[in-house]
Amino acid sequence: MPTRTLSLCMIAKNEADSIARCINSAKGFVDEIIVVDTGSTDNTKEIARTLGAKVIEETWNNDFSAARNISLEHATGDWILFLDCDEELDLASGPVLREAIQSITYEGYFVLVTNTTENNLQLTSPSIRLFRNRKSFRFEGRIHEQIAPAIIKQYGIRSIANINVTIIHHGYDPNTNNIKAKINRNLEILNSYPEEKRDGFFLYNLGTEYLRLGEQKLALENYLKALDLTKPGQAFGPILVKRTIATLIALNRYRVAIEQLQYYQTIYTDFNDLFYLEAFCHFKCGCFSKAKVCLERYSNMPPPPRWYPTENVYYLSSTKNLMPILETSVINKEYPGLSVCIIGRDESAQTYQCLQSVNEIAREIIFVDTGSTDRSPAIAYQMGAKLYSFPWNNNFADTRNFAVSLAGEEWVLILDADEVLPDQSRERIVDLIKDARHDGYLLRVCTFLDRNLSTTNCCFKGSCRLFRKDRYRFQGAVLEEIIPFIPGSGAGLTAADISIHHLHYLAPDTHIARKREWKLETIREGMAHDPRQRDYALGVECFSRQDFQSAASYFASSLGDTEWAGVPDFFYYFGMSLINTGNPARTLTVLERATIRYPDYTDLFYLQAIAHFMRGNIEVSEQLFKRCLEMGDAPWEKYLATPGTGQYKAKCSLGTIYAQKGDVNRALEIFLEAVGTPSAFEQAIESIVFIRDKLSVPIERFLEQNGLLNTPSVSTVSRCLAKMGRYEESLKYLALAGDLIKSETPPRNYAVITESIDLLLTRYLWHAVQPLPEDSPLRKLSLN
Amino acid sequence: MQIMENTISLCMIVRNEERNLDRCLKSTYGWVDEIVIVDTGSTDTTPEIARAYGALVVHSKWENDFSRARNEGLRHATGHWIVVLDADEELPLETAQNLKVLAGTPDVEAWTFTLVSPVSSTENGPSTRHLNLRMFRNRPAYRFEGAIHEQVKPAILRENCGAAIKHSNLSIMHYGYIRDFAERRTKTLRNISLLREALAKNPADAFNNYNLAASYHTLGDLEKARDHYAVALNHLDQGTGFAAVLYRNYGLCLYDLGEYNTVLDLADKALALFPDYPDLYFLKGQVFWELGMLPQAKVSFFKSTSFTHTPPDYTTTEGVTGYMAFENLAEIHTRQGDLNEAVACIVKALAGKPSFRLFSRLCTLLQKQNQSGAEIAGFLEHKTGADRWTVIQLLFYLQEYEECLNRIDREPSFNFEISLLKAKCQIRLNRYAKAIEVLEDIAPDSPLAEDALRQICIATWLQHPRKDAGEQISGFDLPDSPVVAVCRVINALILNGNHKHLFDVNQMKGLQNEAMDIAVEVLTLGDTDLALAIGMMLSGPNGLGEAYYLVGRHALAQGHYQKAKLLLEKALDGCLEKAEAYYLIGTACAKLNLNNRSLRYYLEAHHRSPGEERYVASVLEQLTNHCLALIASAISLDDGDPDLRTALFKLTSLRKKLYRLKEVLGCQPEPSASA
Repeated sequence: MPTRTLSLCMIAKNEADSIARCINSAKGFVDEIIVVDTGSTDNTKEIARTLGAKVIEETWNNDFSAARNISLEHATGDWILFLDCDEELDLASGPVLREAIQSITYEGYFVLVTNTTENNLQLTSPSIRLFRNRKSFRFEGRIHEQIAPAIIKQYGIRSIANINVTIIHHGYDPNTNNIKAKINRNLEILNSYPEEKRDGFFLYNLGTEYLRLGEQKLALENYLKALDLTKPGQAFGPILVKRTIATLIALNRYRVAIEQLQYYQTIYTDFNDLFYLEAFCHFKCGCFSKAKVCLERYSNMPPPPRWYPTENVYYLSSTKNLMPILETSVINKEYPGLSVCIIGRDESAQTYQCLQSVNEIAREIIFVDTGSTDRSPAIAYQMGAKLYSFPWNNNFADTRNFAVSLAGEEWVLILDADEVLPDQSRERIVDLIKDARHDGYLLRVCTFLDRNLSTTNCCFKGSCRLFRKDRYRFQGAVLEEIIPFIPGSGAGLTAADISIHHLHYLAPDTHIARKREWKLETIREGMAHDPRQRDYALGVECFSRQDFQSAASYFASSLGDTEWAGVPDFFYYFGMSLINTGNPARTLTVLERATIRYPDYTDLFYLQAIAHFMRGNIEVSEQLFKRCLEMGDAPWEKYLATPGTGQYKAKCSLGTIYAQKGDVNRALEIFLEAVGTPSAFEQAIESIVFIRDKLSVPIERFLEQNGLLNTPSVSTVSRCLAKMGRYEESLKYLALAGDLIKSETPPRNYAVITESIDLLLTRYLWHAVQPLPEDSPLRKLSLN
Repeated sequence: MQIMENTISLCMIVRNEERNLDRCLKSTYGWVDEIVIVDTGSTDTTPEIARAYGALVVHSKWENDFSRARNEGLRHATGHWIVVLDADEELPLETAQNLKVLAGTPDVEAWTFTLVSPVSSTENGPSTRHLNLRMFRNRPAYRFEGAIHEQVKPAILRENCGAAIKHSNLSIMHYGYIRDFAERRTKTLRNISLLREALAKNPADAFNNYNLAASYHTLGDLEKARDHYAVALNHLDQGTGFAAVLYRNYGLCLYDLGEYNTVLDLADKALALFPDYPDLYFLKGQVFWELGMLPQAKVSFFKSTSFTHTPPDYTTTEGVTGYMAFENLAEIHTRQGDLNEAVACIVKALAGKPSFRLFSRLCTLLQKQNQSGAEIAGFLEHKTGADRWTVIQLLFYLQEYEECLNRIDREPSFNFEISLLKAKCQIRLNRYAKAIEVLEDIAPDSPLAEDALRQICIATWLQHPRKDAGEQISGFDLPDSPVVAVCRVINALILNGNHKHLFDVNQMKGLQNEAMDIAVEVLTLGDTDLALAIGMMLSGPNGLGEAYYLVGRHALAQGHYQKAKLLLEKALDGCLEKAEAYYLIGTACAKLNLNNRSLRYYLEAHHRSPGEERYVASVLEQLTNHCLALIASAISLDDGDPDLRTALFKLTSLRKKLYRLKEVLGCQPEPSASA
């Protein structure tokens, strides 16, 4: 039998840089080389001729298929190998190729085209590049031309086999400069396609070009249309599905992605990537159990047939990272159904975190939107929430009750969109409702007062957030409280030691300011009928933005001349505002009866102690701090509580008093003891700095004598001094910290130093701009 | 006979260009066959000037459309070729001479030229260069497009896509960047409003966004410039002609804003596309330098010097491949303690473009290497080709007065400038009589007469005991001269000792500056008493403290930091503006690298006057510098630490912002006491 011959066919235009690489890679395995040149102005043709190619010159008329078909007209071999100039034949593939063309069974072969993408990810896709030279096999489509339809039409899909030949594609290298021009040229050709010819393949290509331009939304639009027009049997189907999913994920549209994935898993049953992608979507949504199931399924599947585009290596390594996270986050227990009700408005920055933190334990998520103008409802929807809207009527209780009324499960957990459930709280909630002895629970809402999320600067407050759906309702426009839904029902509320983190201050400043405006409006409108309550609420607002002067006057007006029996928190807020405005006498008057009424509210005694200290009643102050220590921290389920007032904060204050009285040693003993407790560290160092004049040696010597001369403590000293407005001294200790860290063994933690630098500069700037005019250019200055 | 098809029409559009037009037309006169000038509404003598050169002047209403006006001119042109110029441009002789050669070249449709735009009015100052199409065949289809930043190239390529557009290798001078500031501002503002109109229709247009950004950049509105550059870049087709310059200018803008991270990313992105663009390496070098990343800065500047020529289609700043890069390399070597390399680099920079600044830097380096005055002079002569006068001036700068005098004596030529310098040397060597002798030879009608009188007076007063300069002062017949007036008053002060009767503060207000100049000069010559006496005279009833303050402040403005610091410290007891005095000492300390003390003084100034923005900015600057020093020292130990890197970028950026802010706030004390 005579050996069959092979023609290499190519089209080229200005490919002088790459054509030699391509021809040389295949030269040894083909019998002739046909290059159709569509108008090169460089020396492409000369290079091709030198390498033995037959060059045919043609004018370019915006039609890739036409050009390719011209090369086919000139080919005399029994088989055609078609390559692009930016491709090369893998070294090992030549002999396979020769053997394959001896076949009498097949009309064409799928070979694998591999791309190396930006992040060194290998993307492989099958393509028919080797086929018999028949007059009836011609390319179709002006761009992204295909030969497959012609072959399949005549001989059926079974006439095309897979072959172990690899072609390396060097195109789309983001480092080459004409990529954008190429994309634009492609788009131009595509957009000139007549409407009736716009089929699935066309739309797929259009989407891909948009994707390359970074236009994800346009890409998605075209992909989704393409999916509708594509039959599962079409060769580009799997890659279209995968690209669509990748685009959906990039746009955070997890819900749609999961729906599509679940559908296509029934079509391409052996395409394991689809299970990995589903796992990834569930993971992003916080549905860890579902993610784990999908990931296990993916790991247990055999490698997919070669015609699927695949990223095996990449997925395998990320599976290794993902699995341990899933294993620790999965909750594998039986428990009653839980509806999580989330109320939010314009919280797009935090909605994602909020939903991700509860999805694992929620049987349903109800998201009630009160008038967002941003993407937060869309985010919630894509994370799987049921979406409702409730027009804002300046009443918090109404909104919450609306959300509760929609809940379908036995238990309800209430969250705001700027709150998250810390990891350890998820399992505790499940355990609690599994065999609940009560109908409702107060959870501990921990509000962080700055962006460091440190427990030294936060306050706790109990709030009824977890209860049986039909037992409780909310009441009150602003300061809502919980009341039994059916009188007599609701077997008591009790506190559960479970935290919710309130991340209010993580939002951008402008956002916080806007929220404050809404809140003020709500207070003024919603509480107009009750000026006393209204002034209290306004005071709290001023307090939280540290405007203690205004806060104090609102509280005073709320108190009036009678003895108002308001909530205990009122006295904390009022007392704290008075202290901060330098009015200890009034503080004492206000707190006098309150401490009798709330004898277990440590914070009030703490404030009293400070007020006495400020007035010079050192002895009384000392007794009160001691009392705080005996009491311990106030019960957060009853009061707004600041951690430490019954512990290290009181202790350090006592130390300061001892120092004041001349007993410096006793004071230092206390501080040094407190330094050992992580949450008290900062306070203790601050106390030492506060009495630095009373030390017999400079602070750094004192620290050294006590084995504390290290970068964290000295950085803290620097920070304390900056807060006290002692910038020059602060800088001195910063420099010392900089020296100390050099003698530490690597890796060194420079964050403590850079944070102190930030604080020093920010503090000075903040302090310095206060007296400057509103339009001072210095006000625009910031460190970031 | 062959018909010559190479006649040339010069086409221009003008309005109120009487100050520029003459220069432009003169440079073309005789080299073009026809001049067509479209006047869009001049109210000055522009049309007359044009007609004087035989131009056809076409009046056309201005309709906010440059292309329309240009095309109006083309309509009237009869030559085979069109040359387009603006009134603020000029053809160098070589270009003018070659126009006919270009017109006679077959098969070329259009020629490009390199536009050379000096950016400062000093001779040999820096300039930028960019490529522009300015000559094309006169065909009806070749018309300008675009209401602003009009272009003819698209039309040519559309008509004839294979059209040969060639670079002529010739240049055109453009003086637009050094025109009067107010005028330039007006033009820029007009451009901005036109561009905004165009963008209202098509907000994503890359070219218009780029031009708008460049206009804002010119006005110094860096934030707006940055935003429009970014839009332009987002919608850029990499093939377009202004892609490279967009990257460059965007980079410069970000650099000025202190957004260093972004600049580096952008420069690398641009270098992937334009690897032969030296300005990009230079820009990277500047960023690394600001960040204190010296090795990286060195590599970048070195790279930019490795280009022997910049492709003409890049807009480039002159010197980035040569003297500017070498000067920066010298600075880096100095910082790294490699003085020999630093000297070598300065010598290379001087070979590119000599300037007194470079020479004085070189001298300072040589002095650091303990070379004597004679050795330095020898080096200058043999290694840099500095002329004799430059060497003499540099010796004076180096305070090598004996050597300076030696050279002056060997100098064959003579002029009053040399005499003045000679006298100054002698004064500094306490040879007052000789100095006076030399100075008296300077002719009273010479422009240097006032300087001579000042020096004569100083030489007289500084003698022991002080002498009377009255006779010499009367000898100068300069009735309106402030120098004479001030010298007379100071002379009287010296003779009588009691200033109160002699001096009317109000009358002398205009002379205060002149008096303070003399005070600071005698101060630097070691006569603190006289300097303070002058100060007392000006401070009126406010006493010695105020005198210390005034003289100290003036000395600071003139760069005598050590003296300024001493005087201002003494001023603290009795001056009126105490906060300002603390601030000024802080400034002097900062200049003297006494950073701890500088911070303390700045803080004291701020404490005393919390509403003064300059004090706040200065404290912040010192704090930032201290922190940066800390970070830099840590980085030398842990190069790759991400926290340190973030802090480095953040603080360097803050320092840059403060630097800009201090300029806006006017933190440099002015030499004039603005009482």
